[in-house]
Amino acid sequence: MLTAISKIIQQLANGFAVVGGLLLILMAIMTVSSIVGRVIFSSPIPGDYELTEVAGAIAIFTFLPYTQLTKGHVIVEFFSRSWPPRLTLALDVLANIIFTFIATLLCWRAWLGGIGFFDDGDASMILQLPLWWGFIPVVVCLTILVLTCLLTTAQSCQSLYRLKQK
Amino acid sequence: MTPLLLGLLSFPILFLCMLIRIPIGLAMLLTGGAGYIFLNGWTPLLAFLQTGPYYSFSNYSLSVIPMFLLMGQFATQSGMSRSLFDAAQTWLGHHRGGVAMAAITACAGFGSICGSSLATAASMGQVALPEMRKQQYSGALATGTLAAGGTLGILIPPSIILVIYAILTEQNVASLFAAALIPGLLAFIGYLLTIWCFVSLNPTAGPVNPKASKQQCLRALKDVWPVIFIFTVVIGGIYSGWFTPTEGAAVGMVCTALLALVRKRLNTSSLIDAIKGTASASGMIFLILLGAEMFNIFLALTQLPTVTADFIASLHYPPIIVLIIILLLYLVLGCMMDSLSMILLTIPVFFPVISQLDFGLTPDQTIIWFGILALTVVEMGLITPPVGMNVYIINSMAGDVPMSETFSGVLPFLLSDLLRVGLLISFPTLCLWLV
Repeated sequence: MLTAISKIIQQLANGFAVVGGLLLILMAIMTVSSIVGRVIFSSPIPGDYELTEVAGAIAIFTFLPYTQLTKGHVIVEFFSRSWPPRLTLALDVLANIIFTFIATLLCWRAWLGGIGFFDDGDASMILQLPLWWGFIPVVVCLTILVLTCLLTTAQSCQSLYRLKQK
Repeated sequence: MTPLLLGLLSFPILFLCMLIRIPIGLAMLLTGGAGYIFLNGWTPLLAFLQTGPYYSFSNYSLSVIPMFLLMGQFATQSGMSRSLFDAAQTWLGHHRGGVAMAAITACAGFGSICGSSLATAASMGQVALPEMRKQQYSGALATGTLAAGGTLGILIPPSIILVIYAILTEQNVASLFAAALIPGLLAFIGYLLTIWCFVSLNPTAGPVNPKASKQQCLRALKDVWPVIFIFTVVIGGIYSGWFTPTEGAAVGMVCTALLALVRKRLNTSSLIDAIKGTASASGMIFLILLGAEMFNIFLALTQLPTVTADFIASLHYPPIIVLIIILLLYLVLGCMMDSLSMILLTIPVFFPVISQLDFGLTPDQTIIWFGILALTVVEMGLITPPVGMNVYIINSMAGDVPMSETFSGVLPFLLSDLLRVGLLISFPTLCLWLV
């Protein structure tokens, strides 16, 4: 059961990162077409900057769970290198718990932020895209980030427990 | 407690958080957030978190970062590192230490289409390290060359650190890229000379190859023209104002992807690898960016940056001394922290300080010049003991070379870096000529 859940979370984190990357590639192709349109036909794709901004932000949010899952965040290891493994593992549990807390906070606030934009009916300048659209993927990604943080917390607890048993 | 004192206190707290292995971005977010609550209360913080992160991630100038990262990934996939190295080896292999010189040349070439040092070190290391070991190059020379060569990835534009520096200091990315060109070239030449000195002193460290024929040399160039083409289009386009840096990165990414496709290196699995490499690096960078933004909002509230600047200005030290102290501070910090966090953490404090100093340049020129100096010094952190990231990457690839040998191999390159910094301080025109 637990392994099944952790597998689903891992697949979600991986899958979203790939989707985000594909979005980035689409955005680049759109940008290049817009440049070609601007130079040759002097008619760029309208709102290309806006689209880049929204797609860029969504891509970054899709990447966050994957970075957490693969322990991609930079840590200062200069001092802790010589510490006993039990201590560093316990500190890793702490860091993961803090990240879970922050991710939950971000997710909750982004949800409210999206609702705020929905109520106000704010839209982008050129294409008039409703701003709350962008918040749907953002909240979904942050939810996956919370799940991933829970998973990495569990994983670090597990390694600490195993070390204690030895 | 006065806000100023709180601002001063936040630094030891931040370093303590980093010390106990909290990821750097998270530590900045935490310290900055806590300080912000202390000064302004919960409500404004919660309001900021509703849309703040979304707005900072959807900044148009920042979307250039994942694009340059993906461009570097595609460049790696396309096998350009191998072609560059082979071509450089054909041209330089017959000199003493020629294969090491070829590795540096290939690093410079790869750095011109890749904005990250670690990626450059990793992809060139895979190609050039086995070759140098096979040809009996000493472990110190082989690993030292590649660790130092990797830093060319970021010293030669495009460069992700320069993009972030430009945003922080509200400078034009194109001017910073232009300013980095001559110093980047100097770094390349300096490294070549370092190898020449190294093998002159220890002739056994780098053996000699037979000279390649003229035809072979010309044929070798055929494989590397795409790199020159992509660099010219991307950097030339950004420099001449044809397109924005973000558009330039998009063009570069599409070009390198096409190159990988044409060379039959791009399939579903390598595409996914490229995306995942980008994802992990972007996630890491943007968490640091978010944390730094929070921390800097807090610092600005405490007025610490402006007070520090006024204080330093009131001391009336010669500007050059202040500059050298700041650069030395970067060297020390660089031994422990990664370059990006260092720039994000220090520029909001140092920027007002540097802006007030008179070096006989215009304010914009001073900021651009300082940016290049900071970039150079910060990058030295990647190869200084005890935790040079590049050194670790290359050393882990060469299983049989002890770490101490790699660090001793890096030392001559560090010396050449120091000489270059001295040169750039004495002659600011080297940075400002092309701007």
